[in-house]
Amino acid sequence: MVSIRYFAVLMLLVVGVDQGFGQTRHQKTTSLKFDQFLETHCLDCHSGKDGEGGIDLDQFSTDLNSLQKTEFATRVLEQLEAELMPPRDSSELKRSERAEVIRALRSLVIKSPFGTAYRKRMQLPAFGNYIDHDLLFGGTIKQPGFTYSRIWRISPYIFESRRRAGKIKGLQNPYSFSTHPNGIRDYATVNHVDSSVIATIVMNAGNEFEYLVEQAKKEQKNSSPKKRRRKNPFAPFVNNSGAITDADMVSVVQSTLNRILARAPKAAERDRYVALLKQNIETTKQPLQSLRSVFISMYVSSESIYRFELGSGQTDQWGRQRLEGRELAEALSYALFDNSPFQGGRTNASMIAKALDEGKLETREQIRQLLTRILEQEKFPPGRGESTPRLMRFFREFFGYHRAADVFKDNQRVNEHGIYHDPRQLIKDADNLIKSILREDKNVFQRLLITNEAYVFHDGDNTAADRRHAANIKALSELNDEWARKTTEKRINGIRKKPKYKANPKLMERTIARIKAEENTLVEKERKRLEKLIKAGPAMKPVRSRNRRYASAYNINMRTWKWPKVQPFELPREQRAGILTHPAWLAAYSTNDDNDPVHRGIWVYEKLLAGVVANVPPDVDARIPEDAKKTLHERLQVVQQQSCWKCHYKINPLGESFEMFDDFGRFRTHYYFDESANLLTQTHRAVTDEDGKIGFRSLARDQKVTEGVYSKRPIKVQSDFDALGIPGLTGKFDNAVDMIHKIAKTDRARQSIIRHLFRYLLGRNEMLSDSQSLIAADRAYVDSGGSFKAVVISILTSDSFLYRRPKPGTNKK
Amino acid sequence: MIDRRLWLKTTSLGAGSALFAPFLRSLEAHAAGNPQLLPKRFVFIVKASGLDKFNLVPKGIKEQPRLTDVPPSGRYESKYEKGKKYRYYPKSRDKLVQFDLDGHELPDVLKPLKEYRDQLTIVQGLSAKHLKGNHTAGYGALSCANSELSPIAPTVDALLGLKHSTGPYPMFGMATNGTLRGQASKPDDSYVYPNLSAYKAGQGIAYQASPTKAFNELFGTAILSPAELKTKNLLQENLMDFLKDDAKRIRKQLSQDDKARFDAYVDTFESLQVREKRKATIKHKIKKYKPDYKKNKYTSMQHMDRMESQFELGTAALIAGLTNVITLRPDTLGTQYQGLGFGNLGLHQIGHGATLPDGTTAREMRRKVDAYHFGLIAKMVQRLKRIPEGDGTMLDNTLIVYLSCTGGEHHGGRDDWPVVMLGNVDDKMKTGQYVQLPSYGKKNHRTLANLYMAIMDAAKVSYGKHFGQIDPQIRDLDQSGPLEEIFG
Repeated sequence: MVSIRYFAVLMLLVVGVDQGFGQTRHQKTTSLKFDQFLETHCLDCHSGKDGEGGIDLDQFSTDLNSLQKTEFATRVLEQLEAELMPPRDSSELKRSERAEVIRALRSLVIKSPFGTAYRKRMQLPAFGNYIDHDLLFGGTIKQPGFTYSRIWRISPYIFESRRRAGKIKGLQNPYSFSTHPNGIRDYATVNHVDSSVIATIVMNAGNEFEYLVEQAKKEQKNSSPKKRRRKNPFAPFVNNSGAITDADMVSVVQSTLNRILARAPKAAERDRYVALLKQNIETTKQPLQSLRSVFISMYVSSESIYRFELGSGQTDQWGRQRLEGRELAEALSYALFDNSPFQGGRTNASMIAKALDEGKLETREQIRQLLTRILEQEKFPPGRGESTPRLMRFFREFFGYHRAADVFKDNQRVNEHGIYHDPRQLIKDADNLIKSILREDKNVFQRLLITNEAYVFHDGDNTAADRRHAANIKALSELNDEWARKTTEKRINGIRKKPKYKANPKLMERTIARIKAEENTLVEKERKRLEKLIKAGPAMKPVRSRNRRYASAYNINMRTWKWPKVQPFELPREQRAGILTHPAWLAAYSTNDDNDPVHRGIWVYEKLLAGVVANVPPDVDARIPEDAKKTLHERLQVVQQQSCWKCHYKINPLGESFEMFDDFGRFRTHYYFDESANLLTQTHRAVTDEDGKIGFRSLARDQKVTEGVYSKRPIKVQSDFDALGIPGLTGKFDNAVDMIHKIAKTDRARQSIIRHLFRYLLGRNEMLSDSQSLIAADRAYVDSGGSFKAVVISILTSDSFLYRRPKPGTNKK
Repeated sequence: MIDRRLWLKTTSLGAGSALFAPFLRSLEAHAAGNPQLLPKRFVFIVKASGLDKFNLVPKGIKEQPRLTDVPPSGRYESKYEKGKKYRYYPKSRDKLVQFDLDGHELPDVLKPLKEYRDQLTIVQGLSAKHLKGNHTAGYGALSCANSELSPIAPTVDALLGLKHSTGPYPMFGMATNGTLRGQASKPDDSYVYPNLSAYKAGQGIAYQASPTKAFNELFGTAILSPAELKTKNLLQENLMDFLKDDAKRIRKQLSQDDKARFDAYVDTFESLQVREKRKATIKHKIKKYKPDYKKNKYTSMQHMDRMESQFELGTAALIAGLTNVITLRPDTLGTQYQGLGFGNLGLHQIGHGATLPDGTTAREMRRKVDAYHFGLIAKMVQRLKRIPEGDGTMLDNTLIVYLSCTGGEHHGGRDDWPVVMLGNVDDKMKTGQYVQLPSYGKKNHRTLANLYMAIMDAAKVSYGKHFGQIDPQIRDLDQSGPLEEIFG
């Protein structure tokens, strides 16, 4: 019997406050204490040469002065972190005790000169949950938060935004994320720059430069004398006449930097490029080529590729410096938007630049006021019009429903299920649902998890259908020959502009002739189309049978369903509970032809319960055995053998509860078996009519069950939470809906979502020192009645966001 | 002859200097006149949608695919060839089948290569069933490590390139599109990640999708006049100095971790500079073997024009010594083979059994696609054969490997992964033979990794006991070491 006494001693010895990933300031934890721990929990099995799994913990040492010892300690640590060891059934190790010993051992590994690999690994998104949840929210850690000074490669979204700002077409986005597609993508420590990124940027720069030169040349030729007086900064370089003055150089550098960085350059920055341009011209005597080289250098400069968050100003007693001035403004801006606050023009981000100019970014309260003003403007409108695009993106990355379109479903199989699977529309429906909850901004996280409301095939805007209907009526009344003439003219003009036709005059001629010939029938054709639409009444699109079949993903009967103009509307409460039962999420977490209970379970365990699941060991065959007569649940029994169950006990009961849905997201109650007792994997079968045309007819499963041809068994997915050991989460659950309702009530689920939001906004995993910031964010949510905006403001005004601290070993001058 | 002293003088760069080791070795080899040390070249051609194994069995042998009237119990393709006879390929095989191609009629798809039958190797029955992925094993196809979308291990082409490439590029990849799935009715036009090649975990390799950009990048140096080249170099040096100063200023303020990431960014410039310098040193070769810039073909938005451009540019890059390894991704699931008369049908639809109005079945279309690729390979081979090297031709020192990223079928098919090879490595392989291994799980069954290990063995590239990850489902079988059957 251990260990409480032992841990009391251990905790006393872990003196001081945590830095980074839980390392302690003082390493007084003696090897003797670890010896006690090993003695009590480990050595019965892992002692001597014959230790289980070939592990001999007699060799364990806390003096990590060699690679071998550090690697061994890391292996021990990994087993503790993933709760694989000591085995659940043979140990009385409490969660808090485990957390403490992990904390102490982690501190040793990270501080070891050989612990780099582990330290780097802990920065990856997949290891975010390794920091103990109870310690983070327990309130025992009082150290104020900070983020290490850092650089952060810009995201593909920021590049897109710059491209839009510069009105540049046809540039390839050189950036992509290296993080896993399932989860938060933009991590400061992960995404990198390689030679293909640089090569693409150089290519982009060359293309754009040539475009600008062409523009300047055209302007010279064509523009009116008045326009010509408004000098194009490229003109002196293009003209090749007369000497290029310093003023010319400053002008061209200023304008191009503005274009490339989508912000006004700093004076020092500008001067450096002017100097380079001068040097180039002096050495080559070729102004245009020299400018081209400078243009490329701007594109590949560190300023263009990275964001800098180094901190400035006074160092406080904790060794921290606050983000100030431009760094602070950019950090705030990139947390909410994809563009710099200094881009110019009237962007939402420019409010931050304005506040900086007016000296209103000095105190935390001022930042809070600014953020409140910015978020008040965010109404989460339907479609793409969010003023803070990054906030909505969080929900996509957190839930991952937007990946439904990446899971391929075979058309044959889709037809055999009598459904119209349109993942893109499912994603839009889910977006609309989330936005409607965000608009109200009350109990946001809980509602996202339990609402039984849904948007089905809807704009998300309840007036859109009426507006569209009215527009159709108006258009019908305006149909006449004049309309046909104008429309034909418009079509022909469009054809004349398209490069495809420009390159092929014969094709252009043919196409224009066809369009002209169609003019006579145009009115009649359009009339028929509009009349059909008007007859169908206000709708998102003409609700055809295919679209109706789409609704069956929500178990809506396509024969009797009348599309509701006003949405969201309620689906049966026993069938749906929030995003995790939305067909988009269910399809995103499915395989090509079945449910994916393992990944669904991992999602719930990691994202809502802040749990840790170890990686699949390399020698494990992680495939589900095939057996036509067994249900997925029965085939998954294979993981109940001890070696698998030590991880799968956390995920399978959670994930298999979703068996109440099929992989298209439809609620179901039974499994059906055919005459050979094989599991029926389809609801329809292909039939060929006399003309050889293939159609799909329902198998009429229930009727065949009545006739005794088929058989069916109810889907039973009842399980319990007890084995998970999550505070406040015990007892049985009947199915996924029941499970989600119970989880949504826990503090753990709310805090776990806040942890993920924190990672998203800061671009890194939590550290124990973020404890106070996280607790404050949690409190902000609870005190505001579940406002998402309140949590965002709390995180963005926290010490963790506002303060930077150099990592040990940084020579900051 | 390249002036090695001049070379060393111009390339004394810290981080980049490691890139020169193979190049120097190659110079030594040439200087020593040792034919065994002649450069080794590799071409990987990785098609999408599976490579039908039925089509690769020579005619007139016992194990050939039979045409039967009733569907046999093994694999058959009745689904796709309605009203026609079934084409049968034995699913369960206990014995190794191995014979010389000489004396056997090549299967129809391989007819374009009939002149080179003595250099062909057809390997059937390899597996890599542990590789998962949606219509593709992704990086796994060339690394045998189970990861479709993110590189977790080096791939065979990259390892061969790092060891053997003597030119500016360890390897060069070209693709028509980056994304495998999706309606890619048009080819991409810049760098893309087809998720096939990686130097190491986390370092996937981008492929060039635009033939024009590939042409400019590979052969652009050769177009410049001496004066233009001089200006370019001067500007390049100014640019590098500027960027390095800029980097120095920032580097001081960074932590160790950030420094490492930032250094990778700075090293990128160095390696690009090294690359340009290497190009400059082989400028005469680049100029000599540079293909004519064919504007119509290189800027065409038709997939088949793009494929032909890829093969042409890739071959020229090998001959000019720009790299020793080329990996081509001729098609993806969105590719349209309009030139073969399939209209707007994408490869994905064909993979799912689409038929043409004239009754052409999907299997027939797939055969035509494979035959078309082998035709392009034949052209590549002809060009390589025209270039003398050592006592023979460049073809003698080149190995072309043709396979699919997803095995032997449009879906699945990873238990039977056909590979067609043409050429040799150091004359170590027994070419002109057909090898059909015992089927998955049977005694003496071998994996795709064993084939890669054999190629790496021949090319003196070291690997551990295994390459990639082993297939746990057949862990009782020996999955280590090279595929001995392909050696002489």
